[in-house]
Amino acid sequence: MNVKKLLLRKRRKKESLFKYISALLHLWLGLLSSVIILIVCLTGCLYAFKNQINDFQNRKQVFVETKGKRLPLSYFEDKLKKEKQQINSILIPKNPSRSVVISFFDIDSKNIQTHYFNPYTGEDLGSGNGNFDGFFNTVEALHKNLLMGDVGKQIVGAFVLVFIFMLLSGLVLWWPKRKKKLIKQAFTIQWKAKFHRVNYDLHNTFGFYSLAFLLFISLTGIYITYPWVKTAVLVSLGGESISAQTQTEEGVSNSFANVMDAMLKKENEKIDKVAIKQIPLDSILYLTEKELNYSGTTTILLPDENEPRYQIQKINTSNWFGAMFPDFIDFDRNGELKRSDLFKNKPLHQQFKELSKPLHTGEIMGTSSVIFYFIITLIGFSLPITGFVIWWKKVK
Amino acid sequence: MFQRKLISNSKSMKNTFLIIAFTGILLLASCGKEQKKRGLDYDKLKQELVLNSEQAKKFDALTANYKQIMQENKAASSTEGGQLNRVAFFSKMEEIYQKQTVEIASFLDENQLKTYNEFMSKNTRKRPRYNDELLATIKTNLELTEEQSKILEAANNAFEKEFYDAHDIYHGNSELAAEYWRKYDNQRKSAIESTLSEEQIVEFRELVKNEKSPSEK
Repeated sequence: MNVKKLLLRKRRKKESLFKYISALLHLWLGLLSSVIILIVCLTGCLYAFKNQINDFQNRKQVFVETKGKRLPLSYFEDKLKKEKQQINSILIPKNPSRSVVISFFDIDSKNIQTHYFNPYTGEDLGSGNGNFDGFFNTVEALHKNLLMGDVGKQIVGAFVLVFIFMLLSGLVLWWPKRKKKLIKQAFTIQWKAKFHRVNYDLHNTFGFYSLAFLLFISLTGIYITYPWVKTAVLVSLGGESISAQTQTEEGVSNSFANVMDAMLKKENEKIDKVAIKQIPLDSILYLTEKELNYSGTTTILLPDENEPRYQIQKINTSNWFGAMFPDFIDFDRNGELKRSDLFKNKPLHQQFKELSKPLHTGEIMGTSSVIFYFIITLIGFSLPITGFVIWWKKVK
Repeated sequence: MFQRKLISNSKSMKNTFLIIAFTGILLLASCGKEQKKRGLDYDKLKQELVLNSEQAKKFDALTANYKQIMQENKAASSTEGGQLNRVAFFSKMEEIYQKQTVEIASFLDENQLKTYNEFMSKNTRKRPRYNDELLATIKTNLELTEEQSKILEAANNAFEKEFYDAHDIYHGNSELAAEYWRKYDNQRKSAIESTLSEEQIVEFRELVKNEKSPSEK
């Protein structure tokens, strides 16, 4: 009898059946999912700052004083050549107070190293240390699958679906009646009130303000987990369903033929490489800046025996949100532009595919969006706790 | 009396809830498969190899060195807000593992090397394409012309690029990954076979019949 009273409260006067059932389901599913949601939100919070924490830990390598003119890339090429090292790739950050990251290998042993270099003095700042890598790998695994492999992944997926229901049923419960006092109550927190009132407001009001964002984060999370969600999203954005994409076709499709055509051209370039004098690295950078005329973090992957081209990735943030959109171009050893794969020219579903992860993790707009996502997931973490306290008070 | 009964029932209900929640978590934890550690478990490999003290010292030094090289390769592939170039990354990773194998072979005996190769084969991520050894065998056995060899290489590279480009779709779903692999494998075979004679096609299919998606291996 008492158990029924505690989990099946009486329907209030003038309370609609819809709201009553939403309240009951919100309670039951909340109690059921609280622990998992706590873990997923907490680990999401922690993981959000992975890059920033790594940068802080390696701040002596990552950050430099901006003094004087930047050295040309040929300086680093020559410096490393003297040490019998050959450059494999260079990362030139957009932020002028960050060091460049050069990956190079020993000409004899072919051992690869990645070091930070001061772009103003040329000083070799050494490699970073990954002391937190193990910690963040565990946090990520906890977040994705509770350290339980495929079973855990399905559990997380199921409980995120429950959480989505919780957010929507929470909105139903939050919805204030048309009275000025109640409307004001729904949007504010009475900080000076007693503990249980503050707790209630934290759950109710914070829940409302974070609803849309938590919903978005949850949906992008289950997009990664469930093919049916991927299909729904991609088809709605103009793409093909996954089952259509994986259908085996007779012969060679147009898409595959285009990629093969590009690969055949590269095969011919490999053969011609002996005759061609390689263009200087600074010229490649100049051509990149001419082709992609905006400020952005640039990565240049140099040609090798398997890849005859300079492959460049530049992150375009010159949009209203400052969101990071990657552009790709290739140059051959003559400096001729061979490929231009710009984000803005891709269809919407393709753009979403490329951004799905940074949209979920908050990296999409850099540190500002990471901080915002951290606050939102912190609220998400608090909701099961404040909700539990609300219920606990009633149970006492 | 009624209040005491109510309080006692509430407490037992709370306790019941806590017990159910705790048991549920334990059950879930026990249901899960053993979570694979990130990276290779060299401690496990060392046990299987049964190394003497001299070998163990060299093994530890070598694996620590290559672990550092792997980390630096990964660091080189990470870009702010950008995408990992999977072809370049896994190509470098393959080279690093090959070098490690050459160095480790210098102090392992035949049986130990066999155990090492089996362990690495089972526990390292393979590129999805035909490897260089298989490519060389195809070119030799089928007596391919220069043009046919170029098409073989181009089709193989196109296959790898298409498969990696679809990664965001099949990520975390091994069945879906296998479907994409099969789709692009059919395309690759069609492209290659379009330049081969009937006899060459038969021989080619025989040589690649064991190739499978990495998630199916």
